[in-house]
Amino acid sequence: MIQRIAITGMGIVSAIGNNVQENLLALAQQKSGIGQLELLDTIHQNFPCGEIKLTNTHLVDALKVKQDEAFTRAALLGVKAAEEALQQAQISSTNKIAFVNGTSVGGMDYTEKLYQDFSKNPHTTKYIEAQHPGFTSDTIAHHLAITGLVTTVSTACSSGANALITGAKLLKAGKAETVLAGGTDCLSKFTLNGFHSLKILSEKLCQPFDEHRSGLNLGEGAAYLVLETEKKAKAQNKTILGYLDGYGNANDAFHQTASSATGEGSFLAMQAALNSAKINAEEVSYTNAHGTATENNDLSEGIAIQRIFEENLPKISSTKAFTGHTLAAAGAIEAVFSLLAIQEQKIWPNLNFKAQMPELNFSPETEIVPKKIEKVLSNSFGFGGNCSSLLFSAV
Amino acid sequence: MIKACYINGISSLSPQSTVEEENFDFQQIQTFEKPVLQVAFKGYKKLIKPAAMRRMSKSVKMGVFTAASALIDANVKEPTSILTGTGMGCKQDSDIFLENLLLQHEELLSPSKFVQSTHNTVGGQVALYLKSKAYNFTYVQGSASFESALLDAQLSILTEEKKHQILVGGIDEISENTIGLLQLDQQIKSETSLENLKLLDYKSKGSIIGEGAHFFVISEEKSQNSYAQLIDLHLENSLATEEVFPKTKAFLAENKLAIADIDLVILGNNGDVDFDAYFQPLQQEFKEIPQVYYKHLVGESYTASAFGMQLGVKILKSQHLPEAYRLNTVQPQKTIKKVLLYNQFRGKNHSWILLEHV
Repeated sequence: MIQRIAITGMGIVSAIGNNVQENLLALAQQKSGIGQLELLDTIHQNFPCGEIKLTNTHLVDALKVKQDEAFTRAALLGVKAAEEALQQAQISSTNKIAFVNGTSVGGMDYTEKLYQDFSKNPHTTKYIEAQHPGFTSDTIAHHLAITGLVTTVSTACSSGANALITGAKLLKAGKAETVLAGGTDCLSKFTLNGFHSLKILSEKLCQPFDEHRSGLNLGEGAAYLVLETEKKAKAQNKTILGYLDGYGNANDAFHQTASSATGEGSFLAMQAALNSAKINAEEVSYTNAHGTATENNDLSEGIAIQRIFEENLPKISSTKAFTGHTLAAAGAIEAVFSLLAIQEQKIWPNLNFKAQMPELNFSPETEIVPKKIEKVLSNSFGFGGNCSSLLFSAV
Repeated sequence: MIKACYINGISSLSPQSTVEEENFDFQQIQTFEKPVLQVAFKGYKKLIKPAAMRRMSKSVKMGVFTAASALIDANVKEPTSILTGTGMGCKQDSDIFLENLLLQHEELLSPSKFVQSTHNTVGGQVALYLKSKAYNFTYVQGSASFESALLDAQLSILTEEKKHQILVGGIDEISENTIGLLQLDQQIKSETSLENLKLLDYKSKGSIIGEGAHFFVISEEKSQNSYAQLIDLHLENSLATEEVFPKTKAFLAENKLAIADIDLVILGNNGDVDFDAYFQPLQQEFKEIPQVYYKHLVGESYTASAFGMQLGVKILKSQHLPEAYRLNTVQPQKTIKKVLLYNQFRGKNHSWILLEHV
C-alpha cells in the first residue's frame, strides 16, 4: 500500500525573514526583501538581490557552530532552516532520519574567496573539499547529527523541488521513516557573474509575467520540509501541515539554458505531477509559478500553464519578487509558501506586475486573494532543461 | 512484492580504456607512473558528431558516449529516466569560469563556461543527445554520488507502476586547474615517482586520482543481455571504523543474507594510510572468499565506485576474476553468485551494493 506523504515540519530563511513566521508576515504585508547588496563583495552593486542580512559570523554564533568546522554560507543557512523544520515536526532524535539536500553551487562562496590563497593560508585548506556540493550537505548533516542516508540533488534551479521528490520516493519505497528535504544556496560572485554573463539579471526589481519584464533578481536562502508517511504522522499524533500528493519531473531537451517556446518540459512536469496525484487540472486552486521574470522563462512557462489548464486557469503568481531567485533553494522556499497559502487560505501576490504579456491570456494575481485553497501546484525549472512540479494538498 | 532491478546494459570509460577502445578485457593493464590517471580514449566520434563534440567538455563527452553506448548494449532506444551521479560535476568549465572571474575582476565574462558548469550538465546533454524528455536527476554526494543515482533507479522501480529502462551513470573528470589544490589537501600522494600497481604499498597520505564515466541500463525486466541483478544498496553518511562490519551484517540481514552467502567482495581501498582502515574489517571478515579492488587501476574519484560496480557485474557474467584486480589470493570455490561492494572516501559517504548472478 503506497502511503500519502505528510508534511509535519517546515523551516525557512530568506530575504523576507529568518523563520516561517517572519516570511509569512512579509508575504501578508506584501513586503519584498530585494534591494541593494550589503554583504556580497562584488563590483556588480547595480543589481538588486534578495540578500539575507545576517553575516556568517552572526550565523556561526547563533547556531553554535564549532569554530574548527568548515561551514559554507549555504551550510549555515541550511542548518538554520533545518533546525526550525525539525523542531516543528518534534524530531528530537535525528539519527534515524534521512536527509535529502538540494544545492547548486554548494560551497562556491568559500571557493571563490580562497581559490588563489589556499596555498598561502594552511588553515583554509579545510575548505578545499567545499568545492563539491556534497560537502555542504555533509556539514549540515554532521551538525544535525544525521549519520545515515544523506544525499544531494543538484539540478541547478530545480534542485530544492527535486530533493522533495527524492524524499517522497524514499518514504514510499520504505527506505526511510522520516525525511528532511529541501534546498539551500547562498549568493556568490560565481552565480551573480554567471547570470550577468547571460544577460538575464535586471537592474530593476523583477517583474514576473510582465510584458516589460527585464530579467531576474538573484536571491539566497534555505528551506526544508519534514516528510513522513501519513500513517506514521497520525500514529504519533503530529499536526499535518499538508500533503505532498504529486510530483513530476521532465526534461525540456531543447537547450542547455533556454526553455522551448512551447514549454514542453514544464508542460510534461505539471502533467506528471497531476497524474501522480490522480487529480484533474481544474482541481488546482493556485499555481506558484517558477516565474523568474526572464523573457524566456515566463513566456515558456506561461504557455505551458495555458496548455495544462486550458479554460480552467487557477490563480497564478510568482513569489520571486519577494525573495529573488534563490536557485537550488527556490523549490523548497516556494514549497513553504505553497503550504502557507494553504494554511492562510490566501494567494500570495505577484509583486511589481503592471502589464499583461501579449502572448498570454492570463495575468498573475497582484493582491492577496482570500480563497478556498485545496491544491497548490508549485513549479521549479533549471538549467539542463530540468523541469519539476510539485502538488501540495490541504489536510 | 519486491521488484527486481536487472542490469541489462553497460558502458564504461576509465583510465584503463585505450585510445581506440572503451571496453577492455581486464587482461591488458594500463600502468601509470604519476598519481594522475587520465582517460586516454579518443574514439568519441563513433557516436558523437564532430560539430556537437566541439562544445563538449570531457565530462560531457565521456558521459554522452557511455550513456549512448550503454543503451546500444541493452538494445534500448528510449530510456524512461536519466540519472547521473557526479562528485565534482563539470569541474574544468567551472574552474575556468571562476579563474576568469577572478583574473578579470568580474568583467567581460563569456557565459559559455558558466552554462556548462552546473552539475546536471551531463544529464541535460544526454537528454539533448537522445532528445529525451524523460525524468532527469543528478546527484552530487561525494563518494556516494553514483550510489545516490542508483538508489533513485531502485526507488523508481519500487514506487512506480510502469515499465522502466533507466539510464544511470557516474561521471567525474580531472580538472587540470585544481590538481594543485587536491595535492595541497593531501588527497593526492606526494611521492614524486609512483607506480599505480603498488598503490597499497606506499603507506602515505592521499591516493592517486582518476576520472571516467560508467553508465548502466536498469529495468525490472530481465533481458537476453542481462549481466546481473542489483539486489539492494545502502548508504551511511558517517561511521566509525568499528561500525563498518556491524552495518555490513545488518545490510545483509535486511536482505535475508549472512556473511557466508557472499562469494566475492569488491573494496574501495585507495592506499590512503589515514582511511584504508575502514576496509580492514571486511578484508578480515571475508578472508575466506576472493577479494577484489580497483582504485590502483583507475584512480580515486567520487564516482570511482561506478567502475567497481561494472567490474562486479562483468565478473558475475564472465565468472572470471582478473588477476590484476585481486586483493587476496583466495580462489573461488564455486560459482560466484553474490557480490558485495563497499566503498567510502575519507570516512564519509559509505556505500554498500549487493549484486547477484542471473
